[in-house]
Amino acid sequence: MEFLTQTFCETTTQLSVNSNTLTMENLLNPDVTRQWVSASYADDSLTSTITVTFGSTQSVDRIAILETNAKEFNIFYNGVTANAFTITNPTTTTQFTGNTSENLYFICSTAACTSVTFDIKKTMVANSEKAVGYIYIGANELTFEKVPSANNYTPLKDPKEIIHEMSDGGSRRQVVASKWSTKIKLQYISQSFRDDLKAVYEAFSPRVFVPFGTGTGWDGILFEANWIGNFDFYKYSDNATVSGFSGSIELKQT
Amino acid sequence: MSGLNTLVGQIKNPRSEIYRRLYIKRRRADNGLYEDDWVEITDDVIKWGNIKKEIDSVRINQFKFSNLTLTLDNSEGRYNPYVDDNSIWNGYGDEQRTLVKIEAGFLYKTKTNGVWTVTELPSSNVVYNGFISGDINIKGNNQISIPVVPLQECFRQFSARRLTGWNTSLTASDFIMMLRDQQDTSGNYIFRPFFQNTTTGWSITSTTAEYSNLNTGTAADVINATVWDVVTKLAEAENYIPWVTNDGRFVFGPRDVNTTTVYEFYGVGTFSNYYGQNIKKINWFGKRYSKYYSRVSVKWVDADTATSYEIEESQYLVNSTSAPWTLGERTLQIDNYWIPNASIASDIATALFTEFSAIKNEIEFATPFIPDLDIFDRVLISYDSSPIQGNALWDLNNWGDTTSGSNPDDLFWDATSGEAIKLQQDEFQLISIDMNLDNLECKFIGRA
Repeated sequence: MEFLTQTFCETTTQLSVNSNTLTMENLLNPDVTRQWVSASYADDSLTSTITVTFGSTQSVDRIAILETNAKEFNIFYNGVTANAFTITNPTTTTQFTGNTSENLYFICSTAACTSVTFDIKKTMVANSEKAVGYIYIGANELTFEKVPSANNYTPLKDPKEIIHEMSDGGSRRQVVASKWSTKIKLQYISQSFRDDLKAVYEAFSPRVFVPFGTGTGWDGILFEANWIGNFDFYKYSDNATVSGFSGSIELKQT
Repeated sequence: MSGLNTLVGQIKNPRSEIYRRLYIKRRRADNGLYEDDWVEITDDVIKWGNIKKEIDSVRINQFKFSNLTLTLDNSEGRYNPYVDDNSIWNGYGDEQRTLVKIEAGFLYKTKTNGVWTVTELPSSNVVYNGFISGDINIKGNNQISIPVVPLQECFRQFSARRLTGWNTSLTASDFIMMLRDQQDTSGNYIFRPFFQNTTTGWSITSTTAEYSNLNTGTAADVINATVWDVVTKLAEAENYIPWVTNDGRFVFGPRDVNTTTVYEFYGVGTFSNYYGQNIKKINWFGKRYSKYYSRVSVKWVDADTATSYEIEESQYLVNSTSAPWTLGERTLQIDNYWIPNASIASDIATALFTEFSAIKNEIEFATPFIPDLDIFDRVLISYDSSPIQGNALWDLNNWGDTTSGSNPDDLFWDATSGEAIKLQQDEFQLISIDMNLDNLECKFIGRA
């Protein structure tokens, strides 16, 4: 469970693709059903390329790809194919030949990057157009020192919707958007972690929250979050000050 | 059965996804012209407000498109005055008269081979066109209210005397074309940018009567009038209606007589496998006495003599079918001295008499969000209200009546059919559409 920086990939001017620039901005859109889809690359012998170029060198140690159909692909930095990121799970580098996951989260060794490139060669269903719903490139800001119990972690998919009651008593549900929200309660945390949490709470820019980022079987939950409400981690967990602190976090997707 | 890839299917679907988008088009600081592309600011919208358009509500044949107030998040000062560095207008012209466009519709999403296809329904998705005009209030809670007026307001903001192109044989359609092609001294169009910035944004039905009173910008009928005053006066003289379509076209033509049904509504007690249930409630239904006129009087010459009037009226007879006797006599008085001759005045009287001499039903009903319907569209409505007090479960048969064809031992259950409102595919023409984009609810008024 961790907080990440905002994505380093913020504007379309940072992006370049070798086909279908019209849908390129979808790579920045958290609505993963709005994908960047290649054009005339429905051929596994053709490589689709997405490159994100940063204005200045960025230290990258987290990468996520959501809603992709890529099977064989490489991710590398600074324009050098050999510069694959070092990861621990599900393999050792960001070079894949048989991916079957639509959502991928990579915890990488920190690399100083001026650009990150995604070369997509083959798709899960052979010879399809290459598609990617969202790309996150950033860095870890704070890893939770402990994971809350199941009772103390409540992730919600929170729709903004209108429920219409029809004249016959039936209903219609018209959904405008569906966003993540999360409630977390922590107990017995250290003073240093409490202070780190406070820094996140007080930051003016939102942070990206990833509850369980893992290299395999990732649930794809990653969202830019506002920490709303108060900061109550100054409360002691028990009668001894050494017991640590308790409090709660309420996050809402931006 | 309507498929989910159709608008009807999405409206019928118990769970559907809606999108709303807000765009603006600013004027460039260097030459004052509107920028080429729309700028989307949807993410900053806090409140969308109501979009309403109606006909006949203020005056017969007068089209009314409501103002709109948008509430936006202004935490970062994006909507501050254009002199502010943070303002989205910084480097552009004043916020006033910035063009505004709202799109809304349904999203239909499918996924094949890992690729999502998102289809927007309907294909013509603009629900409002207007421009910013009025007091812009920045509130203490980091919100801002943006007043938006409908496009035809650009005619109210221009004095008719400033127009060029007057002549002694000007027809009403000539005048509208004159507006369409009106330019400043540098050759920039004045009104065209508000209506799609092209001639195809103007739908003008040709007229033949000439208006010699509109021969110059200093003519008595022009000098103190706005362009909109002249447009509405001419429309009345021609029995035309000036109005703006959903997609921002200016139309000057006769009251539309759509003869085909474009949509069907179903409420309680009725069923359609194709349209599904789409009425939330009926707010009111009944004969519209206030729009009944047994007599139409068109005064077309200022002098108060009998020949100045063209009158169409029902014969006053004391019988069961005479409207003046059964309903009372009501007169619709039109005074328009621009009408060029008695023949046209008579035609106007006849047309209005035909529409309003019979008392007609009107209905107001609420539905979930239904885009793509417009004023004058014809719809069918089915609604069969259940009895409020269903105490007579076997009231279809008189048990003591030996002449009844039914066996006295049979039980007859009351069909739960309309005892208050019963509509079975009754046809109505939409004369008011009120779309609340916050609650995603539409209110329609239909006239039989």
